[in-house]
Amino acid sequence: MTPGLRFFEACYRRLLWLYPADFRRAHATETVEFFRDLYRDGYRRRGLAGALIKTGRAFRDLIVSALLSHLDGPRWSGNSSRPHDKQKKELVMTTVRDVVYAVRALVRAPGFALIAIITLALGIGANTAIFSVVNGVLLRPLPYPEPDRLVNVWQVNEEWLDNPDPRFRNLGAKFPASARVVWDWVERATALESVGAYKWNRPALDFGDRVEQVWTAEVTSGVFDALAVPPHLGRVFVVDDDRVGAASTAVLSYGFWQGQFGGDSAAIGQSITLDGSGYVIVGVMPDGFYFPDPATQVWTTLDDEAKQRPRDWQFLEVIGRLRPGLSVAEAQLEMEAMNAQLIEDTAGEHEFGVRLILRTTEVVGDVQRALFVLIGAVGLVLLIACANIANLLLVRATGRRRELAVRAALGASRGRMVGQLLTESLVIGLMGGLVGLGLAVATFKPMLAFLPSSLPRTDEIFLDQRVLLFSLVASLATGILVGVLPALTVSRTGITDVLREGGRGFAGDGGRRWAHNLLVSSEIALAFVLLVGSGLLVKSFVRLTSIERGFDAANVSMVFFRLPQATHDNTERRSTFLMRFHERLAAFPGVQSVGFADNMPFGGGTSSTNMTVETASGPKEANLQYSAVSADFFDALRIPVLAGRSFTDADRLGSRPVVIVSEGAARELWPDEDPVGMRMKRGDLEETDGEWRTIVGVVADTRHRRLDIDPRPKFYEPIHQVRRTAYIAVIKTQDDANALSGAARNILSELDPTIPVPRVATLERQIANSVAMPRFRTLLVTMLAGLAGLLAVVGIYGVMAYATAQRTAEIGVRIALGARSGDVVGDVLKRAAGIAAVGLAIGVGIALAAVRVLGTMLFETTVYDPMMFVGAGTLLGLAALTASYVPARRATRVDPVEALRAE
Amino acid sequence: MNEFVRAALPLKPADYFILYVLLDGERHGYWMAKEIERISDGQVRLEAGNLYRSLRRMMKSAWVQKSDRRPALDSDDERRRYYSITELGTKIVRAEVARMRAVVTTAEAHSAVRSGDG
Repeated sequence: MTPGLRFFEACYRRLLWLYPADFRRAHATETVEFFRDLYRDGYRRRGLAGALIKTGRAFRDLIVSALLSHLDGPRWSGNSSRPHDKQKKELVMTTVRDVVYAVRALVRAPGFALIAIITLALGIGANTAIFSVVNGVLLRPLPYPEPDRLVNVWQVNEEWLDNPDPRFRNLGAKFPASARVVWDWVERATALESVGAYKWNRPALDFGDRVEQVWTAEVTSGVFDALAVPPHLGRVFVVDDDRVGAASTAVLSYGFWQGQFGGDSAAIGQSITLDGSGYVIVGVMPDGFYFPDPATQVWTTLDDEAKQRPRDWQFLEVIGRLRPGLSVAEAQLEMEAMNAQLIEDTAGEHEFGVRLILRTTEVVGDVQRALFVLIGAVGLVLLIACANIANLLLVRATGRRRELAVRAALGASRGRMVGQLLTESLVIGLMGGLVGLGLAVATFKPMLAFLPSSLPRTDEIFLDQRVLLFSLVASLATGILVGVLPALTVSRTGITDVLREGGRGFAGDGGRRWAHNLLVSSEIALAFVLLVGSGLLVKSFVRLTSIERGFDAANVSMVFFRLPQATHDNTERRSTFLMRFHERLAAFPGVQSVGFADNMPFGGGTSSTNMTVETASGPKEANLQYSAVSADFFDALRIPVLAGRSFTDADRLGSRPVVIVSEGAARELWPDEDPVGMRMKRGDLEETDGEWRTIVGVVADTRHRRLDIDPRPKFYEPIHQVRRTAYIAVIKTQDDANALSGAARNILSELDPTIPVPRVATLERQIANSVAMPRFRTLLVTMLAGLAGLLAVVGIYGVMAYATAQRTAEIGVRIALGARSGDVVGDVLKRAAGIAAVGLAIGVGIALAAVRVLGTMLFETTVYDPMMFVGAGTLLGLAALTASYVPARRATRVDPVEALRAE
Repeated sequence: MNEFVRAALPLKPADYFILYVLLDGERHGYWMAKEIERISDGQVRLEAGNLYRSLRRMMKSAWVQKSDRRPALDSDDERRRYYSITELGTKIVRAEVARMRAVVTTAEAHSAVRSGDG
């Protein structure tokens, strides 16, 4: 006989029970015959693998077509309506009876009911929670009318698309627009009903008693047209506001209006002062409206300067609303045609491509994949929980065979008994779902706090109807999943067999034993997949966070402050202020060093510029990142000076212009020379103005914005030699950096009360925020994998304990006949090892296919890491054997006399 | 064209192929599935469940029927059941082929379709 055929044919026969009875009667035999032919053919052609592929297809087909057959059933049975009504009524009555019976049965077995409901509640609750996140972030439409017509419009900078630096590539593919091109689009883009441009801003808002930085957006009237949300009060911007010379106006968010004006409609017509300029309030947006993100409190018009900036000044993001009925792809084609015309008409002055991206995609960004991985992981855990409960039900159903047999003898049909057992599992599923939903509701708030700050749209996560529907469906699916196998297995038992047999266990019953093994094997397989996945994520996360950063973040605080133009109007004055601030901070107990910078690692923002550098082989061009820093900056961050010197207080306005380069810049630009003493200046080769700066030192590379992006070549200028208004004070303290924040704020306002209240953060915190998403998904997947492993081990324990308990008599006889306890233990462990091995083999197969989705999330870690597979397999295998050892040992202590007496 | 034929068109691909392979005589299920896979270049693959579901539906509509005779040249065992096409079934295949021919003729008159060919 063809290998494996007998086994798979048995499975196939079992699955046939999914068909309606009349189909089975008519076609069961030939269907099985068909399967045999198929299997043999597959085997003949490509061996076991071929046969397995055919089997897989056949099983899938069988399940699908069986379900469909139930749907086409009623059509065949004619269409006389009266008998149909009667049938319906009977069906309702039967269902009610089944539910009552099921509830009674569960009440009679409270321990079982409790375990089943709690297990499923945890599984369904976790699924509901994760789904609510997926729903809020990915599935809910954006809060604007017809959000699927909203697009972001980007330029495409072809030249940058094949730049080796990924940041250039990304920026090239989504290049901001100039004001001029936006006006062109407004005029020409027929694919878009309305087009508007916006830019983020963080000006200082004068509250009268204090000055504070707020998030605002400068927008054109087209933005409000595109979003199509009417104002709560007053008006939004109109075309007149876009004109050069128009009055500066502002629209307030609902929250800001409530907070600052107490919701008074008299706010309209008043003015607010941002960065020293007045803006007349013309409107208030409704509650819940946000754009571009929820932090934005005020929308202002662009200033006249911005409105007139030339084409080569690309600083605006653009949003548009598609003409009704147009798809993004169609609109893209129209925009390209329009853009080609624009390039022609401007004689090459405008040179970029154009690209539309659905606003929803833009907002959600790259978290989609991470969320799908999470929902997949949590779904697997629920599946494992289901398998466990199915096992319990199977055991329970075995215990109830006499009851079922009696019912069958009294005339209950097989279908009725399957229906009744399924009702019971559905009741369990629904109760589990109800409790699970309760858990999800109760833990909803803490869960939101646990979400990473980088996740978009977190304030749109609610337990809405869709979440409720999801948990209902999950509960029903769970109920069916846990019930189907036990119901089918039990209902097939012959009546007379059971009654004659006297209710002995399943040890001798191949079918049920097979079902138990299958369930536990699949639990192990799924747990293995999760363990491998979590192992990979953990490894990647450890690599990510332990990578060389180039600086020491321990006990470093950052104070972000701005010096107002009015009182600090020249570099000299600002330098004096920095010195005084430095003095006061340094005098504070526990402070080790204080530096200043205009931007710094994980301080938000970077700048880069084209430079001309001197080398032994002549001048070169390079694009470099840059920061302006004070003398003690490198010391405060413990960035080692590798050659030359650090800055000193003598590097100030009027002294020789100097610069320090990073190790990476030195390596790239002066591979075989000493850069110290060379010179560099801003601008390309052909630009003649620009001041030459002499390189006085080389410092180590630092990672700047994200840990997973390699440091870019960089140079530092002395902060006293450049014009800046926004600074970061970098304060290294002996120990806990937190105590300092209040003091820094006080010192600053004592020195100058007109300075906006600064934001204070610790560097560690900033770095942690930058890896919040990887940490979140790693933590969650690891927790889920742990849970999955635990459930699988509990599952195998349960089955082995049950199996040995059933075999007490047999074991008793064997011991009486002189079997050693080692043999008995070995026997039990052998079966456990078999189950685990099958599970792991299936698990490896699934894992090989599944881990690919993690690919882009991993940092310096390959998805096919053999160590992970071996490690997870060993861990699960050992855990399974350990769990089985307990019942095995117990079996050896069986007293032969007792055991035989029980017979 | 009678109303039963008209109501049957257009045929689902699977139904069409089943009827088509039955034109040659009585066949059993597995043979049909293999033959259909062969003549459709692997595009239509029927598994048991779907095949028998379709056969069952077509039996109810009297397009095919169970066959009593067992061709002797097939030495297979007793369990195989053979199916044959009915007169109505044959009419339906003919009508379906005519319908498809009309579709193809119209399409081929179109310049875009023709140029795509070469």
